[in-house]
This record gives sequence, C-alpha cells and structure tokens, in this order.
Amino acid sequence: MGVLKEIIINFFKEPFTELHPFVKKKPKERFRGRILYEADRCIGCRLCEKYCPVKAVDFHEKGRIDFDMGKCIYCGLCRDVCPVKCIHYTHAFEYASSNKEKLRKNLV
Amino acid sequence: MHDFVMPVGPQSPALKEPMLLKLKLEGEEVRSVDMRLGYTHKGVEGLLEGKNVDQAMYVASRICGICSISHERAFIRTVEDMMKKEVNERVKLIRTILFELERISSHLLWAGFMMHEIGFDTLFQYLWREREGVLDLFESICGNRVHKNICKIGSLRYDIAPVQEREVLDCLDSMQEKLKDYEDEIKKNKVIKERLKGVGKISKKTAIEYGLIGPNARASGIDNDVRRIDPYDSYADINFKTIVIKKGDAMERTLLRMREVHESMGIIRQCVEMLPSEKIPKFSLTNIKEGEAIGRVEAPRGELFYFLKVEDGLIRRAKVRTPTFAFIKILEKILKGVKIGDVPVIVASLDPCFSCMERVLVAKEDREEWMTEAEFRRKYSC
Amino acid sequence: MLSEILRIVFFLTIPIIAIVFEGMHRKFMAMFQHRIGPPVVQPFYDLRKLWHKQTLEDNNDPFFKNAPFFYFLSTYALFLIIPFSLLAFDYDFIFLIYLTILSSGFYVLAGVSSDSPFSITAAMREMVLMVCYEVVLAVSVFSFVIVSGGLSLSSISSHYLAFSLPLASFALIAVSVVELKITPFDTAEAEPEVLTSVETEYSGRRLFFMELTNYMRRLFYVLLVPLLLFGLRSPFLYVTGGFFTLIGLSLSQASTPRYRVDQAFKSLFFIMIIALIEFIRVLSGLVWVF
Repeated sequence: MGVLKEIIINFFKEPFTELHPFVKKKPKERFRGRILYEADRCIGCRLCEKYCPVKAVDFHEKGRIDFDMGKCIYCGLCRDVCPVKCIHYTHAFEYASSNKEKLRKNLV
Repeated sequence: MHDFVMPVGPQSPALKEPMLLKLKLEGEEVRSVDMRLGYTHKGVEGLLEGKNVDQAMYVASRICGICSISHERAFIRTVEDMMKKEVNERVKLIRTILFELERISSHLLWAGFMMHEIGFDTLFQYLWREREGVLDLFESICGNRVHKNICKIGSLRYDIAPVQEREVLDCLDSMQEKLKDYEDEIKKNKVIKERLKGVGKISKKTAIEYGLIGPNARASGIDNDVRRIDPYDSYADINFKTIVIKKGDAMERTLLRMREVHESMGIIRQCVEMLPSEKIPKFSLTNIKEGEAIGRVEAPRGELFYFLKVEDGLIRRAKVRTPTFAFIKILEKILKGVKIGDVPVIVASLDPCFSCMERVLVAKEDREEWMTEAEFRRKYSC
Repeated sequence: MLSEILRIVFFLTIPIIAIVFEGMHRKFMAMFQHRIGPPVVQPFYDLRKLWHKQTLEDNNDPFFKNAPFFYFLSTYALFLIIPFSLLAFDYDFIFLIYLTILSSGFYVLAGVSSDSPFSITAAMREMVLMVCYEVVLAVSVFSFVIVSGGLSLSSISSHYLAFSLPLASFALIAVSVVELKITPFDTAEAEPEVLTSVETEYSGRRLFFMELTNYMRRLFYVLLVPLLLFGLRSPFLYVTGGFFTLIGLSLSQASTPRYRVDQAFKSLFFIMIIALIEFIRVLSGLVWVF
C-alpha cells in the first residue's frame, strides 16, 4: 500500500508544483537563454553566421549582427566558435512574442 | 451490433504524437487496422545534408525531444568512427552517465504516460514528479532540460563538477525508494493487473518476424542490447545486466522498463565512482574531408542507427533509422481482435515515438518504382 | 415559512453549489496528486467560456439538439427531493429512481443521436453499465427506506443507518462512484479511448448544459450518500458528511486505475449481488449480528 499511503500523506503536504508566473524558478548556471551580443568586441569574422545550424544569424557588418530568436535552437555553437567570446547566453527565457520582426532582431 | 470505423488520431489523447489508426470496429472489438503516418515528417535527413558535422549534430539531436542525447551520441559515434578518433576515459564516462540519465527520464516519461492510459493519473503525476529531478540534473549539467546539446565531437561542452556528481547521486538516492514503491504498486494493484496482464501479447516468433528491438524485444525473450553486442563508451568496462523476460505482454513490458531504470541507476553509480581526475579535452572544430561510416547506440527505445557520408567537409547523405521505425508495423498485427479499451494500452506499451520515426519509405505493392536519387528528390521535393 | 423560502433559495442555487463542489473536487484531486491544481472557481471560468463560445454542430437530429436540455431538466428535478424535499409525498423514492434513470437515459440518448463513433461507443458503454447500476441504486434505496420504516425519503432523514445496513451502504457508495464517472468505473468517460465521450460532438451552449448537468449529478450523489447513511438531523453534520464523501470519492479516483468495460460490468454485477443480499435480508426481517 505504498502509493495509497503516499497519496494520503501528499494531501496534507505542500504541493510540489509552483505557481509559475507569480513564483519564478531561477535557471541553473549553465542555462542557455536569450543571446546577448557584445557589439563593440566583435571582430567581424562571420564564423557564427557560418556555423549556425539553422541560419538564425544575420550578419550585416562588423558590430551589427541580428540573432533571430524565433529561429534559434539554443545549441550554443555560435558561442563556442566565436574567437573573442563576444556572444553570451543569458538566463532570460520569457520573451515570447507574436511580433516576428522584433524576434528577428532580438529586440523583444 | 453497430459497425463503424473509429479513427484514433491524428489528434487523440491516446497518442501523444500524431498518427492515424483507422480501427474498423464490430461493437467493441477491432476487426481490422489501417495505419497512416507522416503527420510530423520534418525532412531531417534532407536538413542534415549540406551542413558540416559540427552543425549537423545539433540538428540531428532535434529529431527527438526525449532521446536527444541518443541521437547526438549516435551521430558522434559515427563521426568519431569516421575520423578514427579516440576520446579519453573521463569523456566516455560522462557520456555514459548522461546517456543513462536520459534512459531514466525517457522510461519514467513513458511509464507515467502508460499509467495515464489506464486511468491512473496519480501515479502518472508521481512518476513525472520523479522525472523532474532528472530534468533538473540535465539543466544543471548540460544547460537545457530537453535538448541537452552537451556532446561535442571528441569532447564535451561541459565537465561534471564535483558538486554535480553529488547532485546526481542524491537525485538517484531520493528517486530509488519511490520508484520501488511504484513498481510494487504496478505489480500488486488488482486493477492494473487486470488491465495489463495478457494484453497485447507478442510471442518470440512474431517479435523476430516484425523486427522488434529494444525493451519490447527484450520483453518477448530476445536478448537484444547494443550496449552489450557492440559496446561503446564505457559499457565494456561496466558491470550491468540485460534484463530479458519471456512473456511479452503489456505488463511485462511495463515492469521491464521499470527494472531497466534501476539497472541504469546502477550504471550511473558505477560511472560516478570510476570518474578519473583528468581534464576533458578542449573543444575544437572538426576537420573531416571525406568519409563514410555507420554507428549505432542503444537508445531508450532500442537500436538507433546512423549512416553518414561526408564529402568536402559537408554531409552528402545521411540516413537515420530510429527504433520506432523498426517495429511500428507490428501494430497492425497485434491490434486485430482486441477490445477498443485495450488499444491505447497496447499502442502505449510499445513506447512508439512518431516524431522520431517519420522517414520517407516508398513501398507500393501494385507497381514497382525505380528511381535515381535525383528523380526521387524531384518527385518528393526534398 | 422562513424555512420554506430557504429551501427554495437552496433549490435555485443548486447549479452554483454544484460548480463549487466540482471545483473542490478538482482541488482535492490536485492535492492528492501533490500539485497546486486549478483554483476552486475554475469550473466557473470553464462554463463562462463555453457560454460565449460559438456553436459548431453538424447534426440536425432533434434528439441531438434537445437532449442536453432534457438531461439538464431531469437532473435538476432530482433536487426537488434531495436533500430538502420541496415536494413531499409518499413513495417519493420511486420518483427519485425514475428521475435518475431518466437523466441517465437522456445522457445515453445524447450520445446515440450524435454521429461521432466516440459518442456512440461511450453511450453504449454507459448503457451497459446503466443496466446494472440503476438496479443497484434502486435496491439499496429501497433497503434504506424499508429499514427506516417510513414511506418517503424525508422519513430517512431522522435515522442513522450506515451501520445497520453495511452492505447497502457499500453498494450505494459503489454506485455513486459509477454515477460520478470516476475511476475505477469511468469507462464511459475514458479519455484515451473515447475522447470526451458523449460530449464529443457538442459545442457552445449545449456543451455548457451537458457539463453543468454532469457537475449537478456529482453534487446529487455527494448529497445523497450522507443523507441515506447519516440522516439529516443537524445541518452541520450533514455538510461535513457531504464534504467527507467528496474527499472519499476523490480518494477513490486518485488511487485506482480504470476498468475495461467488461471488467467494470463484472465488478458491478458483484456489487449488485451484494445489494440484493441486503435487500432480501431486509425484506425477511433479519438483523446483522455484530
């Protein structure tokens, strides 16, 4: 009767789940969220554009790169190949939007 | 009695992924089954082509959300085989740990889903609660909960810190007792027994005929485990047993997976103990000019097979054979003559993963078709 | 006079009470399953949404169109007798049994008259189970009435019969599990097999009435069980009884999986035999010796 016992115990316990929008869980340290790009450190090598598996990196010129967050699959390859490490993954993950243009420019 | 065709799917609570089963019913009994697939075809093999191996690995891992490390792992095995590259002991062990953690997560997800099919929502919630611990581990070790993307060719993205080793062991310890409880409940609960015992029986002969692999085959008495017949990573040095059961009904398939979870826990514990104190190699971009290789791993659902052909550093042709693809055809056989109430149980008990499975396969009975690759591409525009 | 008005007010607020009970039921389920769960007013939101939804139905069968309203009315009429009898007359328990059968009948009719194979399968399952559980309900209610010595349900309300009729009490609780469509007997509402069962084809306001009526049926059994078992001597005890009945039924749902329809029928048949044994014992005037 292990499960029945647990059912009854759980009735009086604090719930395991969290009320998400009101109680926010902090992501772990290695979490890959929204991309942060340091434009002034960029050397314009275009490696991130070349290596992005889903072509989410839109390179205009040195220091002006758009990361399409609607396409990004958060694989972390652009960060890994960047020779000066100017691409970072932040802990932000709640930026869903219906505005494609803004998502495309990582502005939401 | 009233005869009609009952469509199960493409959107049905009985299937968590789209697939259409047209069941011809006579009262509550299934007379014949017609299967339609192709609702989640993503053309991943086509996507892989023209990419270099570093990129393509991450696309390959997106084939399946549940066994994403398995796909990565199979891909890496293929590429490392192509390059004749040896990785160091620590990398191997960490890969094994993650691989087995994924098996636990997949089996728990499946077990919860199975309980939902027979209406035991509480156990479903509890099993997924335990699974949450594993997902948290993934987030802590790999960065993401579902698409982990920790593997690199010849290396890993992150090392496991000593704190995380502790976390892994703590998670397993806290899970073990509860899972034992749940397993006992599945074994002893009268209603579960009535629902699962003798349902969807697959004999050894049928299993061989239809090419069953993985846990389903092992539940029907076939000793089939890639970890043993073709060891990779550190499975050769680790002490574990392949569980094989004879009966092959839904109950045995359920219990087998629950027991495999415990086996996986044993493997992880051994690996954590064996972790040497060397450093993992630094990640560097892969440089392959040409090559052709195959690789296979034991994904949670069975053997996962990869074939890759690289030309000029880019993938020319990729072939993925996922476990579900191998055995899905058996549904047409075992669903015949069962009660409608058993259909979700039987489908779920095989643990199919349709989004993994969707591949192009042209098989026409009435007329033969011979095409070159170029013609095929033109016709099916891929 | 005042109590008369109170009874009428209670009767009019039945749908609201039913919705609150449904919300509580969901909350209890969530607590048993170790999660937060929806707020107690969630069924209100659900129903409000359904009320404003567009009706999309491709079926002009008059039975299909009207069954939800008759289902609603026949179920609402049950509350004329339970828990406070607005209509007090002799042999009202026969009226009660008749109404429960009518209500289930309209439910089955709603399923059979729709075109979806899921609805038809669910309705057929419900019909199979109905054959059994209505008999069990009738037999156990008769036993209660006979033992209480009166001619109507209002005479029961002053008795405490749970221990003098153990088998009938058990059968009654089992029947309420079946009627509430909760596990292990929710075969007619088995989500993976028959989707949303009888309601599959309905949408908009008809679905609103189907859902509301389902909640009301739940409330009816939650009120009926403590009434027959513990009587209605003090309102406080009665409310507590109803509350614990709800918790008990939620516990049943939380701790059991679902039977297949043939297995459910077998178990129900067993329960029917139990109820009949009790009924024969009551008729022959024997008393349990403990």
